Parts: sequence; structure tokens; C-alpha cells
Amino acid sequence: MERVRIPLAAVLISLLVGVPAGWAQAPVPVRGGTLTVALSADPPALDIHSTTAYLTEIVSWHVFEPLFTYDRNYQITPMLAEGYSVGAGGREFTITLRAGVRFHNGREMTSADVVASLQRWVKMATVAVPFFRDDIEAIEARGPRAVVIRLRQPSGVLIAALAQPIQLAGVYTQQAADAAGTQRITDMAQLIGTGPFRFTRWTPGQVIELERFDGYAARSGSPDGYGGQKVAYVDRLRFVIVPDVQTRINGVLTGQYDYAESITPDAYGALRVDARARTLILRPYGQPMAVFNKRRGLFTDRRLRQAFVASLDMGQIMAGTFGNPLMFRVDGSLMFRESPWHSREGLEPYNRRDLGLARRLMAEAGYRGQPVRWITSTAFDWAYKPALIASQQLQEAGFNMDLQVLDWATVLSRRANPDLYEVFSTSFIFSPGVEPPIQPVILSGTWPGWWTTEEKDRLIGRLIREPNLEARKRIWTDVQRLYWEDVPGIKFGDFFNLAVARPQVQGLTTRPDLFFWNVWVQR
Amino acid sequence: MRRRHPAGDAQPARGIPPWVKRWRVLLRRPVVIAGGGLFLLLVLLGTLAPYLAPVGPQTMQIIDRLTPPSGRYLLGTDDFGRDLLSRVLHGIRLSLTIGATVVLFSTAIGLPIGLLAGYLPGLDNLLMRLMDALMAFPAVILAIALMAALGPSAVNVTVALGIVYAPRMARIVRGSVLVVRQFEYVTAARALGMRDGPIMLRHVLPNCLSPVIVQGTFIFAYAVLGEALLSFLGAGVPPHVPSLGNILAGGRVYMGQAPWITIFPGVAIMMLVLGLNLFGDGLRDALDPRLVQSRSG
Amino acid sequence: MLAYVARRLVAMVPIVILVGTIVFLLIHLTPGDPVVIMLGPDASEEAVTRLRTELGLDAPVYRQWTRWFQRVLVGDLGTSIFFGVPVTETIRRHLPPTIYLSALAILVAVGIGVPAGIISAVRRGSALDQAVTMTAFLGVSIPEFWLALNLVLLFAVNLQLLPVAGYAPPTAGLAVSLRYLVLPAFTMGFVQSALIARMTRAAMLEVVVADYVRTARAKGLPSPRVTMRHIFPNALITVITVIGIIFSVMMGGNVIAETIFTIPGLGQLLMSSVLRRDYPVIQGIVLLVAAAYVVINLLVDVAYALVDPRIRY
Repeated sequence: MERVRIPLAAVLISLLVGVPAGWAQAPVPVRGGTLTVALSADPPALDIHSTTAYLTEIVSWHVFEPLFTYDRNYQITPMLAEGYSVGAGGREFTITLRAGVRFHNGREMTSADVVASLQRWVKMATVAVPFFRDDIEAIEARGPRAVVIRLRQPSGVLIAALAQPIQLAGVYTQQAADAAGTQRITDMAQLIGTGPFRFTRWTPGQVIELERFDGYAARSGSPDGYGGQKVAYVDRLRFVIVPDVQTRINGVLTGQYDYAESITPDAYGALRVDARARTLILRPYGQPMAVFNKRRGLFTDRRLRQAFVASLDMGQIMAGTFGNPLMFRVDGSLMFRESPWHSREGLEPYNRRDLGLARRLMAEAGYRGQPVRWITSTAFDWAYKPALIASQQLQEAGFNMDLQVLDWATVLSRRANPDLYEVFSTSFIFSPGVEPPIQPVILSGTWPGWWTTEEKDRLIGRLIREPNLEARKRIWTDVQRLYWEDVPGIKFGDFFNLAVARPQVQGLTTRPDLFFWNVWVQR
Repeated sequence: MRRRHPAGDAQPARGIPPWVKRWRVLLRRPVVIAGGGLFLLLVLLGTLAPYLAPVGPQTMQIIDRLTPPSGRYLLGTDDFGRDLLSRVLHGIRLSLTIGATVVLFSTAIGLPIGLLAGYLPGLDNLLMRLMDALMAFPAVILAIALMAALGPSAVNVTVALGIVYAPRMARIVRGSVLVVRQFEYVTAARALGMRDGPIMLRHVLPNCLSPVIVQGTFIFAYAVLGEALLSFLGAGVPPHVPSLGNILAGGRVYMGQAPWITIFPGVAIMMLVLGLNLFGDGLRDALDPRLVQSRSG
Repeated sequence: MLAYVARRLVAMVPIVILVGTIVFLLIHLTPGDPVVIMLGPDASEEAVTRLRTELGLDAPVYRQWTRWFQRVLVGDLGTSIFFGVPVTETIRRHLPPTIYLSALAILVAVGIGVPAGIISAVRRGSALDQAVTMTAFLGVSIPEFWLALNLVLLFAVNLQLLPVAGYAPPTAGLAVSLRYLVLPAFTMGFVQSALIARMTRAAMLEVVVADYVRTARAKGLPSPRVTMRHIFPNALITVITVIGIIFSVMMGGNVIAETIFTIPGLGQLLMSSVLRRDYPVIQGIVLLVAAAYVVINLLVDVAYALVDPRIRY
């Protein structure tokens, strides 16, 4: 058996992302107090296995911990695991567990808890796991301190999947995991983890309260990205649900909340000069996108999709949507600039704004003013605003735009029906460590929009099998070139997420996935 | 606000038809003049919006986004760099259109129901229970639920608000029918063997029109507020359509840094509704001083 | 009297059934799937289908309707799809803030509206009367949410006198909880006070010329006493009616104030449940509010009888 380090997410360093300002000067941390975080919506559940919702992740990963996570450079690092080894030609993973880790009920974590949790998670997880779910032969304990996962085929994404923050592979007690099966756990008494905080109260629609877990077994060393040493400095962590942006901003300014997420980018200018607030730009964060219906209707014709993208001025769209240039960048690469997969190749069709070309393509495709139904929602600025600005540009090019603004629930259900739309709005959110072809989801032929071309399937097939990183990057470049040629959808650019905190709150990072361990309130 | 007008209740002066007198009384009241004037002014602005607006209400100048009021943009611009003056003018136009159609729609439903319920006791219970059920829905909830099911559009806002206000109209009409059907000429007509249909249309209906007109102005005012509220909650007219509620909703997050986006449409709504309320109130006093009705929202 | 109340309560049943059916049909006609929202944006089709079956959402609408109604009849409103908690429990948690806020708002509305109405009736035609009347007109003409937003900007953000939003129950200390509720209660109360002032004034003017008032004055009773003893009781009926209507409207119509001030009441719950398509919760709230409306109307009628001995049922 050999120790293997999977070259999954190689170097993801950006100075802006890397070193959190709070730790650099390192004022002396203070214990105690309550930290109140204003969230934009209710998490659909606290059971972190049960949903891919971002809000569930950032609340519940204070309570549940994964075996692996990502460090400051977005490299995989152990959390509850001590380490792992790979044998049997890449088909057997042996994960050793840290000793002395306790659940909030005081009981020590053993391999039985991990096995039960992983078995439950594997059944419920919908991101990355489908790539290897059917290959799993067994997940079993080897003594109290080790867990073995045996696969029928080698997998390069297993450990990365165990580390991904979305729908986290958190460790529950064996009793809770077995009792629940694939049912969502709603009973607070069963939501027991090993994290630095434990749940004390959940009033849906109002507040989720966590308290410091005094028996928490922190890793030694220093904090490192989402991993390393985690310390709960505050006594209490309160997540309050405040759907209105303006109220979240005002609440921080008046000291009612300590931290608020999803702030309108246009508020940045005023908040930056306000002594009552500190702004944090979480980057990288996401990409606003428009996806074509390639199964039925107008945009089954690739020339019309090309005409569509040729009509657009991305600078205008991004500036009109996000305002401040610090909050976005115009970049057509499918992977973020902070990722090793970023590439500038094949981007010629992006941000061209060539109406002559657009009209020529429309004529070739025989377009005669049929309505283009674009379904979007004001629930998110990144959905509605690019759609509105782009529609004006497309109208100028000669498209007959029918912008249908619905609520988000309706968009989600309509986009699954190919008879109801031509284009829908969505966004691709940065997630550490995910590499193609796990993400972006648009590459999947079964995802709404349905990108099914032989060329793509051939490239993706090669991408999965190719072991050499450099060769895989070259294949990925071809995928990107194909993307902008075939235009299954349109990426408008990159945007960042604005958060605002009281200046007294120390130890915050600007990573896209929020956490409040290692964070304290200066008095 | 009901004042006694000795002249109003007394015997009609010779030679002058009663409706002329009524309008004279009406026009002598400063409240009516003020309210009616305000309303007419806004009707004028709304009607002429396409000519008065400097640019199209949808035209974006991304580079000029969030510009404060200035010589170039009299009321400033919004977050897409759209001219606020043009948007507010078109917003007034749309509010007026929606208001007027809601009045027509709710009258078209409410008037026949009220008439039948009031005149035919057999139908009364059934129809009014149905109206009660609609009234038992809080107006906001019913409108939101209807909008969610129908989908966002100006027509659907009109339909939803029309359904919400129809029971009010029905109640008012039924109330006055119950009074009118006791009048001598109605009982006389019935005694003479006239059929119910003609009696309702020729004798009962005309005498119920005053309260209908008064209630109509109030429904108009409510519909203007209703559109604004629904759009503000994201359940109204599609957000890119320049309606007063949409402009308010879009400007909400900019209240601190760009207050002009919310101030001007807010004032426009207020003026419109105030005008209608003053006018309606004066109208009520002039048309039927004995009428007592509640104006609950 | 008792027979009357019983009759009215029986009449309530068809109304509530009708309301329940209307809302059930409406929300099931609405596009959107609660399961997709719950499982998150990246959930697989397979997981969605599984949960839909688990929740019984794959059955035809009429089956779901009968199933729901059978349970409602025994007092079971079902389980919230989003929270996985019984609907009655969810509603129970969100009810107190709504009632508390509504009560405060009515206090404000009556506190401003009744005196204003009396004053303007007594000093009819004076400058004071006209000022009250104009303010009342403004009150009914201001969009409520617009007023709320401006008040927040002024009192909470700029002057920093009051919290921006939030809620504390009276058990957390009356002063604390009032600080949170001053603005929402004032916003809601002010708009309604206009209505109360106008109704009070109208009702009082109606009896100013009545015989018994004239007699009282002729007997030489001092004017304030006439006002309070003979004129105001007449106005009271109107005021009770209006309060009743306002309260029933507020029970479900707090959506605006509760959204803007993030008060965890029924209105906010309803709004977010609509966005999440949490069918059982929406149905439960509407049913409850409709029942409350009917009961409050009944209470108003009973109150008439108590205030005015001439009314008998």
C-alpha cells in the first residue's frame, strides 16, 4: 500500500482569496459573546446529507464535520480523518480516523459511526457521488479507528467528493444515521455531530441557535482554509433569517447583526466608507448563465445559438448587473481564474457583439421573428438583471424576446419541460476542488437544456479516463472550445458575493463558503 | 364625512333638472374640486405619457445608472440607467389603466350578483355565502394566490384585483337594492304584473347607480394601491414593465444611496389615490347624503 | 341570542369549506414543485421523484384534496413539506407575533383615530376638523409599504432610535419588545386610524341632530357631557365594527409589515411558504384566517347587542 495524494485541485492560490486578513495581523482572539449572522433565507433543512442547498451547508457544517476538507489553497486536507491510503490498484480506500473525537452527547466517535454516516450519505448525495455510486462494493469498519471503502472500478473523485462542502459527507452518530435511513432528520436531538458548535434551538423562519461545544476535539496546528485547527471563540452562534437585503444591511449598521451575506453589490461604495461596517468580497463566487433548450424548438439550431451569443456585449451586461467593477469580471473561461483549469482558449465567440454576424446567422437559420421565451426570476439579481439587459441587446439584433419573469420555484419546475421555454437563467457557483467533468453541470446531457452531442460525449469520456493532469487540461481546453462553438449556454462572466460585518468581528475570511469558527467579537 | 345640505334634501327647485343640481352641489365643494383636479392632472400626465416622456421607459444607458435628478434626467435614473421621469409617467398610465379596468371588471361581476341577490331572496343566501367566502380571504392573500396561479401580467393583475373587489361591489349593490325594492314604484310595477327582469333593469338598477359610482372610485383607488403592493411583493406586473409598484420595488435596495427611485413613484401613487379618495368622498356626499357605507380595506 | 350564535357558527362551515377548496385548487394549479426547492438546485431527478412519492405529491389533485380534507375534519392540517414539522405546530409558533402586532396596531389606530374623529365631529368645519380630515385622507392614500420603508430609513438608519427590524416577545420584557414593534405597529395603525377617524366622525354627526341629543342640550347639559354620554355611544358601534374588520384583515394581511420588519408572524410564514410551494402550510393558514374572519364578524355582531340594547337577535 502506498500513500497517494490525488492531484485533484492543484494550486488554487489567489492572493485575494488565500490569506484572510484577520489572521495576518492576528490580534489576540477573545472568547465569549454571541455572534449574530443574518441569512437571506431559511435553510430547507439542518440535516446536511439531505439537500444541496448552500444555506444548509453554511449553517450545519458548524455541527457536522467531514472526513476531509479543503485547505487555504483548495487542496484536500484531513479533518476527522487522520489520513488515507489507496490499494488494490486504486479500488480500495482505507481511511484512518482521529482518536479522541467526541460527539456532542459525549460519546467518542468510532468507525461504526463513520460507516453508518457514509452509507446514508452515499444514498442521498446527488453531486459527484453518482459518478461512483454504482461502483461501491462495500463501506466497512476495520477496527474502531479505520474505515475501508471498496470499489469495483478505480475512482479519482472519491476523496474529493468526501471533501466537498455542498451536501457535506458529515459524520452523524450511528444510531441517528441508521434510524433515519434516507428520511430527512428533523428532530434536533438526533442532529448530533462532532463540530465546534452544537444545535440548541431551531425556530423555522426565525432563528437557528448554536452553542459552543466544550468537548470539541480540535486538530492541532493552525487554522488552514476550511480545515486545520477550529476554535469556537463565541459562546453562541445565531443565524437569523432576514430575507430583505436592505434590512440585513441596516441591521449590521445599527449593530443588530454582526454579519450579513448576499448584499447588493451596489451598496459597496457606501458601505466601504461607513465606519460602522466592514465589507468583504467573497471571491471567486459564481457565474451567471443563460442555458438554451436544445431538445425542442428554435435553439435546436446551433446557428441561432451562435447568433444569440454574437449579439451580446458582456461588459454592459455585467456592469449593469453588478455595478461596481470590483464585484465582477468579464471572462469567458468556464472555470474560474483561481482554478488550475482556467483557460483562455476558444473564447473568440465570447463578448463579440457583432450584429452583422448575428443577423447573417439568423438569416441562415431561417429565423423569422418567432418569440424567444426566456424564463428568469427576480429572486436573484444574477438571474434577472443579465436577462433584462441581454434581452434589449438581442432585440436590437432582431430577436423577438419574450422575457418571462417568474418566481424561482416556477423557473425550476418549468426548465425541466422542453415545451415551455427557449432559454432559462441559472448560475454556476464556485465549489472548491470540483473539477471537470463533475462541474459545470451544463456538461451533463440529462440536466435541463440537454446538451447531447457526440463530440462532447467523446471528449468527456476521454477526460474521465485520462490519468495525466496536463493531458486532461488539454482535453478540457477542447471542451471549452467546443462549448463556445456549439453554445449549449452562455456564461456572462464571473461575479463575487458581497458580505458586510461589524468592524468588531475578527477572524473572518473571504472564502465563498462561510464559517464562523475561528471568529471572535472584539469588545 | 357627511354634511347636511339643507338644499339637497329639500324639494327640487322648479325648472332645473335634479342631476344638474346635483352636479352644481358637487362642484361647489372644494374637496371635490381639489380631488377631481388632482385626478384629472394625473389622467392627463398618464394619457400623454408617450409624448411627455423624454425617452422610452425601457431604454437603458448602463453608463448612466443611478444618476441623481439633473438637467439631463429630471427625476434621475434607476439601476439600469433608465430615465425615471419616463418610467414614472408610463407607470401612472399603467396604474390608471389597471385601476379603470379593475373597476369595470369588479362591477361586471359584482353588480349582477348584487342585483340578483338583493332582488330575488331565493338566490340571496347562495350568492352572498359565495361572496362571504371570497371576503373571508384576506385581500392580499387572495390576490397573491391568484397571481401565483395565473402568472405575472398586467391583465392577470386586473383579473386578480377584480375578483378581490367584486364582493365589495356586490354587497353595496345588494344593500341598495334591498332599499329600492321597497319603494312604491317598484311594488307598483310588480303589482301591475311587470316581470322581474324588466323591473330590475328599468326601475331598480338606475336607482342603485349612485352607490356603484361612488364605490367605483374607491375601488379605483384600492386597485392603484393593490397593483403597487402586488408588484412590490413580486406578484404583480412583470418587473420590467414600468408600473409604479415595480419602480418602487426595484428602487427599494437603493433607498439609501438613490432615494429618488422610490420617492417619485411613491408620491405619484399618493397623489393619484388621494385625488380619487377626495373625489369619491365628495361624490358620495353629493349623490346620496343618506348613504352609509364602510370603506374597509 | 345563543340560538343566533349557533346558527351563525353552522353557517360558517360551508364558507370555510369553500375557502379551503378555492385555496387548494389555486395553489395546486400554480406551477412550481416544493420538492425541487427542498432538495436544492443540483438534486438529481431520481431523488426528486422519490421524495414526491414519499410525500404523496404524485397522486391526482382530487385524491390529494380528499385526503387533505379527511384529515382537516379531524383537526389534522398535515405536515409542512419544507420544515417537516406539523402545520399546526408551525402555525402555533407564528401566531403570537401576528396577534401581538395586530393588537398593538389597533391600539395605535384607535388611540389616534377615535379622538381625532371625536374632535373633528365636535369642532365640525373648524381648521382642526379640516386638518384631521386631510391627515385622514393622506393616511388612506399612502402605500403602506412605502411609509414603512421611509420610517425605517428615518428612525432606524439615520436617527438610530429604534431597531431596523426583528421581533422580541413581550416575555422578553415589554420595553424591549415594544422597541421592535413601535415602527410596524405605527405603520399599520396609522393607515387604519384614518379609517377609524372618518367612521367615528360620520357616526357622531349622524346623531348630533337626533332628537334625544337635542333634548339633552335643551335640558342644559354641558356640551362635553352630551358628547360623551349621548353622542359617543352611538359612534361606538361603528368603531367596534371597524376594529373587528381591521383585526380580521390584519390576521392575514400583515404580510407587508411582517416582511419589511422581519417579524416571524403568519404573514411572513405565508409569503415564504408561497415561494417554497409549501402547500399544507398555505392551506392551513388560509383556513385559519378565514375561520378567524368569520368568528370575528360574529363577535362584532354580538358586541353590537351588548353596546346597543335596542339590538336583539
